[in-house]
Amino acid sequence: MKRIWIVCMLVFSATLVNAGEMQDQDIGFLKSKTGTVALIRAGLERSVEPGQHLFVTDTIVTGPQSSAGVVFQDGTVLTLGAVTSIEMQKYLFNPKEEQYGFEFYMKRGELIYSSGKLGKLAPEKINVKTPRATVGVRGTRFLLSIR
Amino acid sequence: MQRVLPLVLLVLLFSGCCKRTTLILLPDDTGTAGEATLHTEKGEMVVNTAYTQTSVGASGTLPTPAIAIAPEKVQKKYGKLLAAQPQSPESFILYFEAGGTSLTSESEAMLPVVVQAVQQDAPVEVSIIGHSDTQGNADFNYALSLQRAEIVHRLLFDLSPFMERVSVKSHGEKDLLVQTADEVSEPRNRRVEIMIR
Repeated sequence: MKRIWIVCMLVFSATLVNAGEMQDQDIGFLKSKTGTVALIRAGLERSVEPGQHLFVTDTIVTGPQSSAGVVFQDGTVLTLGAVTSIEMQKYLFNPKEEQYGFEFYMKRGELIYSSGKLGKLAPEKINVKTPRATVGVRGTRFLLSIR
Repeated sequence: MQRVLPLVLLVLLFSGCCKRTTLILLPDDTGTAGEATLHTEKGEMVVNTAYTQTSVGASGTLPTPAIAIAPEKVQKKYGKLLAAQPQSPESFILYFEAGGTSLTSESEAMLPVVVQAVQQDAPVEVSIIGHSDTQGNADFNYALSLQRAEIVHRLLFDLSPFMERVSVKSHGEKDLLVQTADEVSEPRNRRVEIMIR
């Protein structure tokens, strides 16, 4: 019985480590900002400066009269306007294995999406979610506002 | 309490239940527009011309038909957001002499320009990405592209040893500059791309 417990614990911790690896993957960085920009990671919120690395599952929040420029590994650029919140949900850019994905949830605010290599190589894998609707895209730039 | 209730309803009404989700298609850096689609439970609307928009209000309704919006109006309404856009990532493309791992002389002359761009645009991340054409099998092309990217990395490092946040990758034959069928020799696809973000 004890042995079963140990096996269970090992399996459980292995899944934890795996999940951790996925979440710690560097997917892009904060390129520019004005005003206040906060990053929520693992439930902790802190203000961030340009150069900050971003991971999958990070949430980025801008304050009033603020903005943030985020650049991803494939060259996709997101510009967030004031009082905007986005939660990254998926980012996969692995041309060798042809694995692609780009998904985030925009709760409120306004942003400009500007396509990178993902928009060219796998537009069908790009999915922007909002409370009322989702946006699909084919290699382009668009503005999205929830006001 | 009876007086408070209408007030509460009014606050709820203006604080989120009636937000509008608006999608406006913009031209990219080259002036061309792609396509974006707004989906709801009831259906979807496509915008495929620059400066057209569609929107949705209450949950579950159909997005409005696409209509034009004047660039000046977008500028007026979203000027701050437009101005906040960071510089677009910049790609330099280097080519190799046929069959080998030595750069063409034109491409070699580009290296100091690349180093300067990296220093100017800080903070940046740099990817050095090797690409091949489709001739030969995919694994071989992956390895060859990686080898070429590593050579470019070494040359850049010699010019500027303090260059940080550089990653060296290979996309092999999966990210062509010029679309071709498999097993096609195409010099423009045999390249190393330096993406400065």
